[in-house]
Amino acid sequence: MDLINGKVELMHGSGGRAMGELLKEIFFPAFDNEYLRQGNDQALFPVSGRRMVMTTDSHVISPLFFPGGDIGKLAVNGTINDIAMGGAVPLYLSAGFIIEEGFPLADLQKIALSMGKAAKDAGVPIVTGDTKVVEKGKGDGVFINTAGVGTVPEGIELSGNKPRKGDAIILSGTIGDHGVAVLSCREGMEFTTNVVSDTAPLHRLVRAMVAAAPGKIKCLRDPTRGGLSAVLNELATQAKTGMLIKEKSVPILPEVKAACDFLGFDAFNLANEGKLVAICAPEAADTLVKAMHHSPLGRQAAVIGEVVDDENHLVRVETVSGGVRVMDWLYGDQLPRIC
Amino acid sequence: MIIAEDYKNGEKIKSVAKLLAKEADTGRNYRFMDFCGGHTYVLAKNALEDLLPANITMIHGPGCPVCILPAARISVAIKASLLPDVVFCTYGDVMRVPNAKGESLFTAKAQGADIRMVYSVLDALQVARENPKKNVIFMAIGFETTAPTAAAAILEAKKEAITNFFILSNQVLTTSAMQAVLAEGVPLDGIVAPGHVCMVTGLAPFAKPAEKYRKPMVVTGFEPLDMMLAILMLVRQVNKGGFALENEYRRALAFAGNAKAMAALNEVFSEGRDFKWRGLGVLPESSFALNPVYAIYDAEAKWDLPEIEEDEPKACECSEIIKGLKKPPECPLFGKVCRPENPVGACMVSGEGTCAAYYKYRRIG
Repeated sequence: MDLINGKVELMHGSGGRAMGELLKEIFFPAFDNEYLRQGNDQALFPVSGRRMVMTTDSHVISPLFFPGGDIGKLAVNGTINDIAMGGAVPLYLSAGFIIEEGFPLADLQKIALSMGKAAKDAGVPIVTGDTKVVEKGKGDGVFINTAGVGTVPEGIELSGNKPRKGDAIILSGTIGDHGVAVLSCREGMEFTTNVVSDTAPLHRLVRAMVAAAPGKIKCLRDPTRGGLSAVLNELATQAKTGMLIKEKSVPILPEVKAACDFLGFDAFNLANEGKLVAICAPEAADTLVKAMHHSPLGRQAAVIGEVVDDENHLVRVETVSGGVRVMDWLYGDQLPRIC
Repeated sequence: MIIAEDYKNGEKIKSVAKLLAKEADTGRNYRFMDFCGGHTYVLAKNALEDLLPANITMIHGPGCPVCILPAARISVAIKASLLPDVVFCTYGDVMRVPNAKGESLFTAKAQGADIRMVYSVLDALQVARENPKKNVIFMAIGFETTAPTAAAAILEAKKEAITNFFILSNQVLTTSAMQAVLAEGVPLDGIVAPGHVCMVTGLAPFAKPAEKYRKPMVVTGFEPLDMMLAILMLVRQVNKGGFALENEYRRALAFAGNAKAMAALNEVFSEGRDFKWRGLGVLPESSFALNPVYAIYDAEAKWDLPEIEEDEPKACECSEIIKGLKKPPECPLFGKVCRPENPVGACMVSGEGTCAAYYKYRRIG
């Protein structure tokens, strides 16, 4: 990374390796402390004898409204999920808005109502907020930041550095739904699909999981930007292991496969907003998957692979025909094929 | 939406692999070229080479429209993008290809050029409609697969009397590159030819190189089973000792191709222009030039955009890789200096470039 003449490019925000470099070169050294160094989606810290987590997430999605959701619902569920991935119970949220001059009030109200409903449905209230307006042309409609806090129940210790060789990798359901739903209505790319975003709060599923396999879950991650491949590659790096995924075990909707086919996209790289990856001790995998099947958001949960030794920390996929290839972590955004 | 699910079926792919193991003659080696970048990608993404007998080697050819752009064409594009009152439209892949000085369209964008990433030439035409006071240039790249849509956009511009729309043409011909590779004497026992090109042109243009160089050739589609079947058909041809042009892609491909697309293509373009290809050098009559009637849409006729000879990046083996003479790990830069985030050669930029496919799906460290 060229810190003297370089410029921020869009790919630095796409959740891929480019963003990883940005964090490593600029933010980690500047903010360095023991909590940040945990390297998880949320920071864990003690508050008068209890363990709390805190997280924050900014949402800049285009378009603002898409099949199955909108930026507001995404902002609420996204932060709840980042807290839940620490095994924590989400308690309170904040919401900060940066609004572009000229933005329709009706749309703003629609987003606010959607956020209110999402928060109520999840049982996690938005208790504080902030509003700023920027001149026309200096923002893209509306940007929303949400932050949240939660508490970690006794006995739960999740972290991305805990997976070990032999651990099972579990996925809670189909991948790529959100990515395809958003792409289908992105300007210049519209196509017809009945796929809707999977945006949903995962804290209840997590609660059922930790109850079903106490002490056996090593870590949880939600594969949002960058998709399943980014999450698995991050975890492999953090845990200093490799991973082997079986392609035929990964649930993907036929409509998502079809969209990937004609756009030249890889479903492993597409965003999800209501799915999680769990890594657990192998003996607990069956129990955990069964428990997940009882939860509405885990009906299609499946073991998709296992943690293996690999000094280069690569994630590999066994294809449906039995070959093995690398599951790459995108550097920037996916681009549609040319011909 | 139709999904060619059968052509992705793991069991069917495995059964073709079994036939290959049975039929490939252990007393000889088979060297086949997958000409098209799309095929290279299918091989890598599905790890099909893991399923081939050890004596079948796949050599990855020059059929990636981004990879074959020489540094000098990138400099022409950069210069065009920086012209006053110009909006420069391009496919995303092209933006990161560096010229000899390491500049790219991304660098030009950071310098203030109005560069827009589009998904189709028709999006660029729309930009022209919406910005009548700007001149909109579309960086047209690709083989016969993309040329008909570029032609259609120009015909539409003419119909609507749009005068601020221009093409910077890098539309090239598949068979020219194929002949160049064969003329180079790369040792090959057969070629997997691109089904989507034939869907436009028909099979006829491929008969000439097949006959002239006496090479078995199988035209095929882009699913993993298509690839495996094409390789099996090539093995059978080699074993019989013949050379024929065969069509595996019958479910989609008629012998004659797409008459409507060819009509638009021939109305707007002629196959007359010499073009310098990365790795292959100047190939005579290997690209499409706009016909004189449509010269008013030619960016290179409207502005002075001279193509100045540039050296390709030092130590980069792109040109050998494009010709199938080397594999990516044989390049000293591969995976070290040259990675997708910092591509030195064009083969690492495009998703269909051989180096990118190897890095993405086949790296070991």
